[in-house]
Amino acid sequence: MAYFEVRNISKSFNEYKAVDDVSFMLEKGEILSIIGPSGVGKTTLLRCLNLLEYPDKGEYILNGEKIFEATEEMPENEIRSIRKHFGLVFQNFNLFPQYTVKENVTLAAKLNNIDPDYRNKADELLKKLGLEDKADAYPYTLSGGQQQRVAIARALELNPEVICFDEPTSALDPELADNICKLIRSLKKEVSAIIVVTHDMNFAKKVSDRIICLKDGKVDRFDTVENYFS
Amino acid sequence: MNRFFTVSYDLLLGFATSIRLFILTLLFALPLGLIICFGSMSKIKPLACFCRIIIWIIRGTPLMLQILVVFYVPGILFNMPLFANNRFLAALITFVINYACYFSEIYRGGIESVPIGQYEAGKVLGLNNKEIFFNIILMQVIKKIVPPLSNEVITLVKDTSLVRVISVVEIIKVAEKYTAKGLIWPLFYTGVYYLILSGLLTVMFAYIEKCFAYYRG
Ligand SMILES: Nc1ncnc2c1ncn2[C@@H]1O[C@H](COP(=O)(O)OP(=O)(O)OP(=O)(O)O)[C@@H](O)[C@H]1O
Ligand SMILES: [Mg+2]
Repeated sequence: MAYFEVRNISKSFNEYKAVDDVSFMLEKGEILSIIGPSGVGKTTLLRCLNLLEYPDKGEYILNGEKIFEATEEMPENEIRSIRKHFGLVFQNFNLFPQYTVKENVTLAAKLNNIDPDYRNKADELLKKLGLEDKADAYPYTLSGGQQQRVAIARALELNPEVICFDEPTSALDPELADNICKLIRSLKKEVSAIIVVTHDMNFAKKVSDRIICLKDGKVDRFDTVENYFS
Repeated sequence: MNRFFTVSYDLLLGFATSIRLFILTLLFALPLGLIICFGSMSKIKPLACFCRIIIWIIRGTPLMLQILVVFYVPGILFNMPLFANNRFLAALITFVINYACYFSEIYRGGIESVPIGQYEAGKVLGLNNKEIFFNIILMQVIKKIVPPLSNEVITLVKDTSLVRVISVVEIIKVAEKYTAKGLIWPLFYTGVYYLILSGLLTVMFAYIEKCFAYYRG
């Protein structure tokens, strides 16, 4: 049985179907790439997973449990508890400029105080991501690649089951794109499923286990990476 | 020399009225501005529209005119000279409304300058709206509004002199009394009082700005 399953997700903006009846599934530890030309709804699909856009219909099943089903109305705290299963690394990272790297990573854990050991976890993550000497730096002093890694640490700190990346190579030069590819693959140990939006075919080929290609908001092809590129 | 001290003291008494108006205006207009700001950004269209129109009228007409309207209109139109015995109150009410409208626009600019991505980053981290506002947004808004707020506050210092049109005795009015008697220098001397107050405010705002200078963006 699949570990994470998305069933029939749709999202319209004033009659315009940005995401149209998309379904896919992932085994535990797999990386899925969402590809397709500009404007087909890749970002919208990611935002639906994180409930930044509320889907018109569809459901999510995680580890055999239905964690989300689109209903007419859903209370804010229910939406928030569903969000806890997902992490998102934004295309432009959206770090909090007034906080240091470490504060960015620990802010949510500190406010929710679920994990008393959150500071140590943050230190470990920063170390793993090669940011230990940047813990007290402010985001504006970091390079694009460093900011991205802070955003990744910030998402991982909360132990999401599924982590999503929107165009992780868009702000990087090709050399760094190789690094982020390795980094994302190494995250298989930390999170159970990884979803990457990209329009870089090469990158998708290297990073993913499965590929979903969108066309006009619909699934055009969904296959394993071997089948897709053969 | 004796004359100098008398004049200084007299002007100081006049300036006390200016300062009282200044402080009370800030005290009420800063929070009222926030309410008007939320009103003007409200999803309830009629409320937002109403607030925008008020802001447009208040910012689009001279403060001097507004003072005269508030002071005279209740008496003439409704035969209720509310402020006949309390001209200062008429001035204060006008100033509070006027400055609240200016402040509300500054707040709105500050709130709208925070990118939507900052809210979304907070949501994705599982924070609720209150946590997002107080832990992420507020500080960025304050950093953005300190400079325009400081401009407006220093303008307020000088605008207090307008209340003389309804015969509230503030510092320039006092100086004029001397000038009418043929003594010209007290009029210029009032400038010193204004310069000292605006100087203090400038230093204070520079300090606040510096507190937020440690980060960019
Ligand atoms: N908030 C919104 N309101 C209205 N239309 C929207 C909104 N968000 C996205 N859309 C529309 O939905 C479609 C899909 O947008 P989306 O951002 O998901 O594309 P994308 O596949 O991520 O494209 P790109 O590769 O350029 O990032 C676009 O036509 C876009 O204009
Ligand atoms: Mg996109």
